[in-house]
Amino acid sequence: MRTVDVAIVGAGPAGIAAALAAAESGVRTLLIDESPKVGGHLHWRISQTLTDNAGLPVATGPGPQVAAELESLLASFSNLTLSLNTVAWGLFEDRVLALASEDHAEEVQADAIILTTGSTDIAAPFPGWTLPGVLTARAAQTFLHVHRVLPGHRWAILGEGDDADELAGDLARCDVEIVVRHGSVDNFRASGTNRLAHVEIEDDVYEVDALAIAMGRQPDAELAFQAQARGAFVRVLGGYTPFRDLNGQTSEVGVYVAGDAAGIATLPELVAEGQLAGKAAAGAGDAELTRAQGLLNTVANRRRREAIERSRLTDSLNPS
Amino acid sequence: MTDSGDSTAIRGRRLNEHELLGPLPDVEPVEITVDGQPFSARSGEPIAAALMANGIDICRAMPESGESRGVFCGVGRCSDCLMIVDGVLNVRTCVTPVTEGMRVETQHGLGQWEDSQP
Ligand code: FES
Repeated sequence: MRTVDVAIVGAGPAGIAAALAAAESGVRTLLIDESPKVGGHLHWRISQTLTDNAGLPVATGPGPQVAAELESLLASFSNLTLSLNTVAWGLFEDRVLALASEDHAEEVQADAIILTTGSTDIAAPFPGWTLPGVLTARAAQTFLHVHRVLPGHRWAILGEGDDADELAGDLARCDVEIVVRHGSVDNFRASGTNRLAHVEIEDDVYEVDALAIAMGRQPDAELAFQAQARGAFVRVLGGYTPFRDLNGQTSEVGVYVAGDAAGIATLPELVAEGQLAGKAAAGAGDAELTRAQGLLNTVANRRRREAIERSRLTDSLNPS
Repeated sequence: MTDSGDSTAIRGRRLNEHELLGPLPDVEPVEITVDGQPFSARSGEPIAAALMANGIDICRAMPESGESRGVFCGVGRCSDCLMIVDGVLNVRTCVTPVTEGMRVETQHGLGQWEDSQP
């Protein structure tokens, strides 16, 4: 079985930050992602890095450009291996990761594992949600920005908050019409034969050909729970999240979770969490860890800090 | 898009220009068939993107209700976009890239394996 010092699952901004931090410490680092490129949501949430690089060691710009620069930076480390097009489908005892790609399957044993597996969209159901033409905000952003295809020309956006606003801004750049925005699934339905044709809000009917559900996102830390890490539903973090210590380590020793996977975060927060987890996983000394913790504390908003505190791993949970 | 008579249904779906992402890069075109009809796709793109660009939004029909399904999550998580690809059932078209000559078919219900398949 192949062995590495630190394996990181998910090459979005948090995973890249973790990989760079670990690789800088000189340990053998493996960064895994199921997609063909590093960058994760930088490829579909393209407007985030336009004015703020969020602590990533590259210039600001559209997400895909930032991702490409990060990919070259990762490639400059000889002790860092990048496994793209590779799915990490299992996390077993003694930090054994099961990996699969098109023509290869293997297990990798790591001294430390960092899960930066991000989030999934919350798909609140309503009558008609299964009609073709109804899609999640992430699907909409992926088709617009990665595949460069318009799912429709006349849009409805369901949801309010940052994700819905971000999508509205994205659509405004694509020469399409936003016909209606609505905050909740109450009194809301989609209709059409075979395909979305209308949304109905109370007694009003709107003609649309695409409907994006932008009701927010939830953390995706399935691998941590598969590895028996303990956790709880923490509303302010957006869902079921693992308990963690100050560095992001879960109740399973050597298994860390950082970024959106540990609770929906802002870009600077998840980059700072990735860096901290990367350093801790690579065995950095106290001084370095304190510095990285301080940095996270500076960028974390109050909501995140309180939430981290509330879901914090206590000594009684941590066997080490 | 300024021509009179353009309806939503026939307006182009390719985002050839984008103010942040620039022009759509040139790639080799590949030809696929969908339910026997030939369509052009961009090499490397997922099947569902090629379909959507050609105005096809329906991937399959539900086993019992017969209701249509199309792309929902767009990232390989929900299985709403399953189709029959080169005779293989239940292929997630949103994360499976097109290849030259690929045969894509609408999946009705659970679909049926071809004789040559296990
Ligand atoms: S659209 Fe969800 S798996 Fe393809």
